[in-house]
Amino acid sequence: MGNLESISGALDNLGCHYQISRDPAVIRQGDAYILPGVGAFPRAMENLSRFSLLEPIFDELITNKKHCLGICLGMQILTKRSEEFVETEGIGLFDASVEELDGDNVKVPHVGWNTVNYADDCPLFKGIDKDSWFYFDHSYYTNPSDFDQIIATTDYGQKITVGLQNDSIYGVQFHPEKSQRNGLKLLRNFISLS
Amino acid sequence: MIATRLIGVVLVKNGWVVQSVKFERYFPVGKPGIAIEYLDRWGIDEIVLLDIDKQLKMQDRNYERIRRYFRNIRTPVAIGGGITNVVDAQLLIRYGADKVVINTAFLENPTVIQDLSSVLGSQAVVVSLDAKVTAENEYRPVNHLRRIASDLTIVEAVKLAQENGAGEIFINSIEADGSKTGYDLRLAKQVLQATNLPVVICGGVGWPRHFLDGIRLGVSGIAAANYFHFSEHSVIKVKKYLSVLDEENIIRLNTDSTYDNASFDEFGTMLPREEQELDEIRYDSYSEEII
Repeated sequence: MGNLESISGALDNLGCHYQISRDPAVIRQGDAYILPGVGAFPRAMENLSRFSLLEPIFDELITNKKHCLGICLGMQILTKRSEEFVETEGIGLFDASVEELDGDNVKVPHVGWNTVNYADDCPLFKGIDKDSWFYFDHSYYTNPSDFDQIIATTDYGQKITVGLQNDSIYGVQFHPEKSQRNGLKLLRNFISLS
Repeated sequence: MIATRLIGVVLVKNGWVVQSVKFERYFPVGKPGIAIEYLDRWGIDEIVLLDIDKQLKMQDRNYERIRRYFRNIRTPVAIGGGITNVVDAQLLIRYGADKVVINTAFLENPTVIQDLSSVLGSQAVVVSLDAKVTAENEYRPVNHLRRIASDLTIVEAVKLAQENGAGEIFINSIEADGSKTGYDLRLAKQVLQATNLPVVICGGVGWPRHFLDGIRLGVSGIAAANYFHFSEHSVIKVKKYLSVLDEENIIRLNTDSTYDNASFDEFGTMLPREEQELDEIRYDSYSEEII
């Protein structure tokens, strides 16, 4: 579940051919994947398992090393676990866990535009200035154990990780499909990887 | 750090964008698609689409139209108007919304917010309250279904919304609506003290100066409906004014037009440039960036 229209609209704007599917056979034919997400972690994981999507995901992403971009909840489910509602296991491709933002320090959810700093040479941010604005809307964030996987951070009370990469798998906490021009550039960069 | 959001509200009645005054009188402005496109193009931080047709029900909702409005819009969108159940909310999100705005349904049955936030996440659930001053000089939210002020005070309603899992509070002032005399700052302060959720205020903006007064209170978002629909680059000019006048709060000014060296009068109206300056930029050209 998620805001599929926005991603589709953005991909159309970029002239990218795409398919939305939960059919494992269709999924296996993809060259690259985008995992969007609005909603809650436990239900998202439940749905993936209910529709038998975990196996095709592992095959295509790990065995076949196809590129994947997880967005917001889509990024979070790629981590090892989340404490949202009830402790739930994730897909485990990012060495990180999902925790609640600290409401003593800042307002929760983190909703609005914030500036993102990113690792040099990160292909996802090619042609995008450092400290560029992207749109966020989340109450939970990814807390990484493997710092080498961090590709982007933002300042919200404290420095928080908002971008992760493990080989061909990317995740961003912000919504590129809702971040006007900066977001379209990032999506263009992702599509260009495949 | 996070920027304060400048939010454009598009009120729709019978398929037309309307200008509203005290929630009583509505004047047609134009078509929603155009209003939405301009807000997006001028770099608004969020768009809120509110359908204010009386007793709008899920079966009347036109999801295809929502899809058309927002398909090519790369700006965050919140949609409200007669949302009472999870299925409707999920469909709205499926068709283009990032957040849903709940007003009457919350006053009728606060636990609906729990249902929505447990499925969508609280970050997708905005509770909207239209505040009216009662005879006892208190602020109370108005229940549009029953056409009366709620038994709850605005502070009680805000706390109840938060307890039930709302992610954001959107506060409208009925008296200030369409008045062009500025936000009801007393109302805003009460709400800010009642909750640590992000708060967005709306109602009453007539001049950019009013946005500045709002931002200085520490709200998360400053919204206006009528204000943005009547002049070219309204969004950009307001953002330029706010970024020049307010050093503490962060404003995202991220469009090609940045109005460098602009100056303003005490209302926030941008002053015209000198002829010489305009002559100098007369033949400058900027091509649109293809992404």
